[in-house]
Amino acid sequence: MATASFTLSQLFQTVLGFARSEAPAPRARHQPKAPTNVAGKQMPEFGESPEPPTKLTRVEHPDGRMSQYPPPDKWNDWVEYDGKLWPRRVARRYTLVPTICFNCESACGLLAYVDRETLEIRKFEGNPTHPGSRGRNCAKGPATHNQIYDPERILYPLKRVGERGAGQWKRITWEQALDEISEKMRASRQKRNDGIMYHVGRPGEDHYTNRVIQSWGVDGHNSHTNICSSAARCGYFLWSAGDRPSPDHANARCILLVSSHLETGHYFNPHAQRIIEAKMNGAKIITFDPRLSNTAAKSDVWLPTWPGSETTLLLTICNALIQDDSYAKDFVRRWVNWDTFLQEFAPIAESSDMLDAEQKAELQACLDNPDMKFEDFDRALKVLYRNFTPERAAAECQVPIERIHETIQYVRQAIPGRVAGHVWRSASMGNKGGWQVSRCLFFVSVLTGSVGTEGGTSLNSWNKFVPKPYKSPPAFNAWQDLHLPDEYPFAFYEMSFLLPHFLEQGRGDVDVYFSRVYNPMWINPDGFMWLKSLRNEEQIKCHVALTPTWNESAWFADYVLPMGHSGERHDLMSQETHSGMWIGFRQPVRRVAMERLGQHVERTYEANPGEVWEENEFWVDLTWKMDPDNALGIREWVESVQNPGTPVTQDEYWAWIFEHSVPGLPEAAKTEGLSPLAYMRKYGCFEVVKTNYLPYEAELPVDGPGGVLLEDGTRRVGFKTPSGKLEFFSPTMRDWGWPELERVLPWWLESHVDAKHIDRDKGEMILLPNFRLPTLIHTRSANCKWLYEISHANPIWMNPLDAQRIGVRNGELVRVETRIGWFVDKVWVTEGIKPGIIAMSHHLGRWRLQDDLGGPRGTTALARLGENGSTHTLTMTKGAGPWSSADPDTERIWWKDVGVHQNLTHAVQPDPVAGHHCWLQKAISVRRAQPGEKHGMVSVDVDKSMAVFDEWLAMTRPASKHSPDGTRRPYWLKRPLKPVREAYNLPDKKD
Amino acid sequence: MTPQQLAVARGRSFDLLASLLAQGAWPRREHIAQLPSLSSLVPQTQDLCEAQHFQVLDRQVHPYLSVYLHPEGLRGGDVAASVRDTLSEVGFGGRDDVESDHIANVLSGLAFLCGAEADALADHQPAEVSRVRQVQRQVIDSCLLPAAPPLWVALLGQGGLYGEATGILVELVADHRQSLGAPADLPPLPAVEDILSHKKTGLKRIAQFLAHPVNSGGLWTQQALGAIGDAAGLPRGFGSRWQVIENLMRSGVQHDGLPAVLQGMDAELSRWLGLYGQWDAQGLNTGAWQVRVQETRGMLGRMAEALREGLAEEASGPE
Repeated sequence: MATASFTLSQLFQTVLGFARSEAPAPRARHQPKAPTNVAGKQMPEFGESPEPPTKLTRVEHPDGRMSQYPPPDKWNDWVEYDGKLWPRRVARRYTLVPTICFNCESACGLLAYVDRETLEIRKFEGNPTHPGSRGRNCAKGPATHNQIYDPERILYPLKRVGERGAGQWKRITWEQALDEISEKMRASRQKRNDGIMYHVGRPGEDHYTNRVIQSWGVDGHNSHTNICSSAARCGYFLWSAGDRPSPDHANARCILLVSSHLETGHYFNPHAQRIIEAKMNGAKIITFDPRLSNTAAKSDVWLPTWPGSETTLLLTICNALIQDDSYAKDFVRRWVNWDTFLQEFAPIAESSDMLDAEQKAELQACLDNPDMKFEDFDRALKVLYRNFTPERAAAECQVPIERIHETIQYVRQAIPGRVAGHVWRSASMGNKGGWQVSRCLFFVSVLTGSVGTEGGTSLNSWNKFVPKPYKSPPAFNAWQDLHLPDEYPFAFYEMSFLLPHFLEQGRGDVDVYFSRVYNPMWINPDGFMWLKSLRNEEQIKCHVALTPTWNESAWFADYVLPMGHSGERHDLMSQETHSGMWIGFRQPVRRVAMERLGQHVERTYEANPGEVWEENEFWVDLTWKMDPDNALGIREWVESVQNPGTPVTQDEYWAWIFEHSVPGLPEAAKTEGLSPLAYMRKYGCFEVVKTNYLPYEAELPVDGPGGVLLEDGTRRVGFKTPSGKLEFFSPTMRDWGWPELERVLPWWLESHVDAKHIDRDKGEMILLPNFRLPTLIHTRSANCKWLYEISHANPIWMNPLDAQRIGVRNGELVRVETRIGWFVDKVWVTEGIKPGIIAMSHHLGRWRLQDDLGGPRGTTALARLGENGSTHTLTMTKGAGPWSSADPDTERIWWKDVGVHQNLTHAVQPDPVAGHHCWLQKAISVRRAQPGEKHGMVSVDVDKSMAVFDEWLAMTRPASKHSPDGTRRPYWLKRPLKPVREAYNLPDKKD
Repeated sequence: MTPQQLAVARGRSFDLLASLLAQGAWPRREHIAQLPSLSSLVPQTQDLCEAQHFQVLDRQVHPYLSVYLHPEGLRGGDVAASVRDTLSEVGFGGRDDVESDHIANVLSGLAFLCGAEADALADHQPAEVSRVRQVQRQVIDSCLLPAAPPLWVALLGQGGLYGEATGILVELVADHRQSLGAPADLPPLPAVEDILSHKKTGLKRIAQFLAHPVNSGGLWTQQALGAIGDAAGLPRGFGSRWQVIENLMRSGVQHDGLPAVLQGMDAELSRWLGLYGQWDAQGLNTGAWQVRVQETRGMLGRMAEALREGLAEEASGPE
């Protein structure tokens, strides 16, 4: 503006004094570079191309795919400017190699930009041909580059020196590691078939490792499912024999989310983009969550339900549809096992304390009709659920009744068939009885006729394709009681988080324990119990940590073996991202680039940095060494068919699958003049089926086997439940010792944090730990500098009313006491959390025990462990800070707070049915921190840990007491790896 | 100062400001530091300079002239082509670090033309001087003035280095344009639809409409919207500008704060109008933008009136 202090004439005088306007600096002459491989040691450098950038083409797609991207026919030789050098225009020449993201389970497509001169990876972007992610990625995908060039990554095999956890390591060769570990495995396998345990965090692939474990003939698969998704799986399975939902968000009219865990954190990218598509097309989004998540903020209706009340609200929706006859009766009549209900429910109703006398009498009238008409069932539904009224739901859930009416209206408007529902962690994993949350949510799907429809909710198996390998080992004859003990016949699946408690009880031991992309001590509840077991060489005799990066549990391992990140390994993946079906091929991108440029690569480690192996080649070599002469019948499963007597190669393995196991792929490859393997190497994915709606309606020969015979006389594929139908009434639950109405039907179960168990007048609250900020990847976010810069701390969310009551302000410290211990953290005062509840993101609070080893200094805190009798403590002695490394960004760390490791203070709370850890904790007290109580301090009494464990164990109904047929578990329930039938027999009834 | 020195000085001033707007302060920091009103506003490190530039010219203000005239606020298209062609015809090939319709490109074009004028003066070629000055006028009237006023308003609203520099830039353009003769008649902005006359028009449609400068008469920056939200005590959420406008209005409706939102928006419009009027008096024809702002004020006024009527009805209750 016309500034008084500075006039134009002054400006002119000043600029006339310039020597001259600076000419642009001459561009450095291009110097060709030789290939390098510096990941983990240096930051990469790239060549400069004299060629101008390749043009992007614009192609409009009507179905939500991206419109502008590098076209695949140009991927092999792609030139573009280096954005980091802006405003200089420096062109780089790349070969673009597709791979699959490993930073959550949704398997989005990535394109690695591999420099054609240095063979270093410039960046990861989206693969536009990928049917699930359609070229888009969340922040976690591009951050793969951080993981690859992480200066703290592990590059060489390490072996412990001295005591476990002493932090002394020596570098060994892979040969030594393989020899020593395989020898221990062979010795174990020769004496038992339950001595080897593979504990997987993020599977990130669909069959390869499981096939290898099966070949060992052991019951060795141990997943993290019981701290993740088992409750939801159980509820869905009881209905449908499918353990995961696959909502068709894009085509829904109403999207019903019980929390937004997948939509904001897990399957975020493929789901979120389709939810937004639906929203833009007018769909209504309804989110249950006591916390104002990103998704809740974008929803049409946010229902901040009190934890444990979600089923009441879901059944209220159901009841509204039942009472006004707006539910999809034709669908229910055709596909629900209402006839079994009418036949067998009478004694259950009679003895139930969930119904009043009037209801019982009216129900009896419905159940007494010998003709068993659907109309009787309809009347019975009206009687059963009539007390689930909006008024009741508003009171129990503590939400405004108007929002409940609005919710019902939106659901009703989506009938028939357009309600997409989803629940993963949150309420299902939070509460005792949380498996009823998914069951009641699926009840909404059933009543709205939205099962497998366009815009409805499918089962994951209808939208996920797992090809078969060239041969598969037979089922093993073994039962690992440490995985699926007698007390949990319905567990989905292994009771992995209780392993240290079982070991403490003396139930067994483990010869060789593999933790694979997993940090059990840190991520599981009651981590000090894990610490005890990991230190105890009698309980866990050999611990092999397969991990690309340091973590708290690997610190207590005997061997730490560096495995490749997502651009450094082969895997096949498919996920139920939408209504189609596809496969994605994860590739070691540097290896593929080298091969494209004419180099021969025999093994992936030749292309990976340092001595980083890909797991598949490791499994083959390990298995081969475990049984070098096939005396145990193991080696044959990793032997080449093409070259007998030698191990199968990755090329041979995948070429066979792509040629023989993926319908349509050979034909698609042929049209491009490629082999199926070359096609997958080029595109990294293949769409097997574009849409797959109503597969259960597929007709079968009337007199043939399988399927289910319907009232109309046709035989249909149906469901894999015992009845072949959707099981509203579960005879299995009744027969296995859970005969109460509230368990055999979709119903409300009292949570351990029900309002009546939280005395708020005494200062008790609920600690809600089962959400995460969307950029977090369990342990591995700590090796992603970009992600940690976005979110690195997990303050306690607290409502202003509670903050006022306690007398704390934003940023001040509070001490939270659980049933087994306490921790200290900062508070974040926000109306985004319901009064009476405090929330803390998980995946944060990383620590290391040595200043320069055990975790990145910018993302972990230096900590000290203490022990006094049964009391264990963790004290943070130094927060994050800058440090010098090959990556200049490590000197730019500006934050100190990396969060608090709350999980140590969580008592284990295994649900007596689904076996899931009920994450919601009762906070006995939440108060202002006193002098001496410092940020990050944790204290736990492990005697209390065992006492709480015993308390919850006592709620179970063991198979040995309740099994109707002398087996350990209903055979039709899923297991990741199923043993032979004989192994199901309870020990004293074994043949 | 001789005419030649003046031409050189104008050219170097345009060049300096073009560099600042295209690349941030770092490349010409030593020169900028010599300007008293700007020297204290230059960040100390390259990172900070680039971050400052990114924050203002990527996050808050679109430096592309086409955005201000396109009916959907899009970049490129006819406006960019017209600027490129005009500059190309006068012999300026364009900067290689920004698109043709980036304001820095036009300023560089003017710097180039001022240099040509200085050369012609040095060579004592009055006819060439006259021709070059005619071309300068054409560039200012056809490339710069139709779209730049709302961009300037938005940059001034940012304050700091870029706000101060924009003040100098407007002064420089006004002074130069005055020296080139009487102001030109600029065409009016295209007529806009009366979206409030449609019964189905909702907040989303209104927000999308207002988000385009050609419709509302200026650019609603995230910063300005944030200030309106803060003043009204309302959440504005995240998202693109239209989403934030919609969020503001929606939360205004939900929390009885819509009058405060409309009042805040009107105050911002009033600020725009004041600047346009001031520049008009300096010979920069901003009549079309003033008309458009008045129309927008009318539109918001109708919303406020409807709101008052609704509240009055509510207060009186059913008969």
